[in-house]
Amino acid sequence: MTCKTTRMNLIDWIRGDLTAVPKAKLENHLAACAVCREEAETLRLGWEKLQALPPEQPSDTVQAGFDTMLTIFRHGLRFEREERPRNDWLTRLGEWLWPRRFPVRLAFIFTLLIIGLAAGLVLGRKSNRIARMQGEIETMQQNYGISLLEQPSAVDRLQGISMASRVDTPRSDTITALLQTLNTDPDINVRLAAVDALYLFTNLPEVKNGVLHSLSRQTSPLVQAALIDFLVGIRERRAIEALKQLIQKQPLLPEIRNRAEAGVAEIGQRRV
Amino acid sequence: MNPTDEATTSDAKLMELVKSGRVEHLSTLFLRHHRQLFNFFLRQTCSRSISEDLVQEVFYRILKYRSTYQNQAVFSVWMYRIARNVHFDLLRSRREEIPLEESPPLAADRAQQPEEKTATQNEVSLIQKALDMIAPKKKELLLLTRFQEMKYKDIATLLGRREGTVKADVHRALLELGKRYRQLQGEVIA
Repeated sequence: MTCKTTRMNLIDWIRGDLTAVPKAKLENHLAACAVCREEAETLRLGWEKLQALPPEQPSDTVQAGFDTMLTIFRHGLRFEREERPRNDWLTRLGEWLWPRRFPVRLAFIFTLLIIGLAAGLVLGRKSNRIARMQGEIETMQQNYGISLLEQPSAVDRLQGISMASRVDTPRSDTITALLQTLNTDPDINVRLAAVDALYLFTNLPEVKNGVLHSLSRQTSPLVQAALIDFLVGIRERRAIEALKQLIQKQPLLPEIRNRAEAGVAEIGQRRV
Repeated sequence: MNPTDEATTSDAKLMELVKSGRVEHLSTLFLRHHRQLFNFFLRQTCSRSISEDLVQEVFYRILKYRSTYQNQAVFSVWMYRIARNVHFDLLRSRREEIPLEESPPLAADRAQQPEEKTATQNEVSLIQKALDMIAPKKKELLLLTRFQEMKYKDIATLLGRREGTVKADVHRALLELGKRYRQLQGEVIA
């Protein structure tokens, strides 16, 4: 056996994958060749040390987080399925109605435009009533969302956040409930979902103020990181002071401190 | 599907069920793979909390992109493709390797004496240091062979390389690990 062939087979030899005959040939070569023997020893050392690394166990929060995610996903999927027949029907109708030839398609668009204008004139009178109904639906959504935020189940509270964040113009009590969830909820996933929901309403001053004050109260690195990203994302000037205070806080993970420092630099840079 | 069938069903079959909308079967895949995935991330990031987040992100993406899974494909290859993307996204977002914020604690072995425990801790710490000294791509390759026990053929599919090239790369990576370990050991003794 040559040195080249020996080296090609060293890994299989160390892993015990060689059959008797090639194994014997390789060992004979190693006995005679000091260079290959040295390489085999180093390789074996690397292999043994790699095997000596103990497998670590993740904490229970990984399983809990996965279960929560799957539950939410299944709820969403069920909702999607309930909605699907109508969508499929509409899609098929759309495909059937949409002409393939361009001139016919153009004529079709104009016809739809005229029908739309006429319908708009007729329906315009009813628009106030529709707007009022929309307002009532938003009110109901917000009431339901707030009530879900008070439930003991984390899944319910996540649904509450989802419900509360669907409205275009949230009431002040909805924002208060979201901020309270961010500050006091025992579940990290729920607090993170609250951060995401609040990000939709960054045009409201009470949201900016609430998130700024929340930063100093949070102890979870994940939530701290999410809030830093939030404040950097909205280019909030007052965040510089809040981030500097966070940097001084003890104990604080170096990763979060680095992120906060980067945030201070980024906001400072944007201000120039 | 009863629990016995579920336990013996292949990964690919379970993933096909997930793809068809029966997402509850992802729980079995999670139970089978999340620990290895955690170790894969832990040895690269050296942070338990980040590694746990990354594991969750992988399973979230599996759900999100379940329709892209090709039936009959090796599930672990597809999963590690996602895992590598998740880790790459993390590195890209930070623009640099994550600092050693916390050393991975030793696997719990309550029966060990304190001095034995310290000796094993030092040994693991030395191996981890040696591992950190080699190039990230080589390190990733070694972790795939160690914790995932992936075959060269599957690693080749995952990395888009030839099987022979992967074998040669593992050889080089192991050789480097052995040399680095010996070097660090020499420094400790000296």
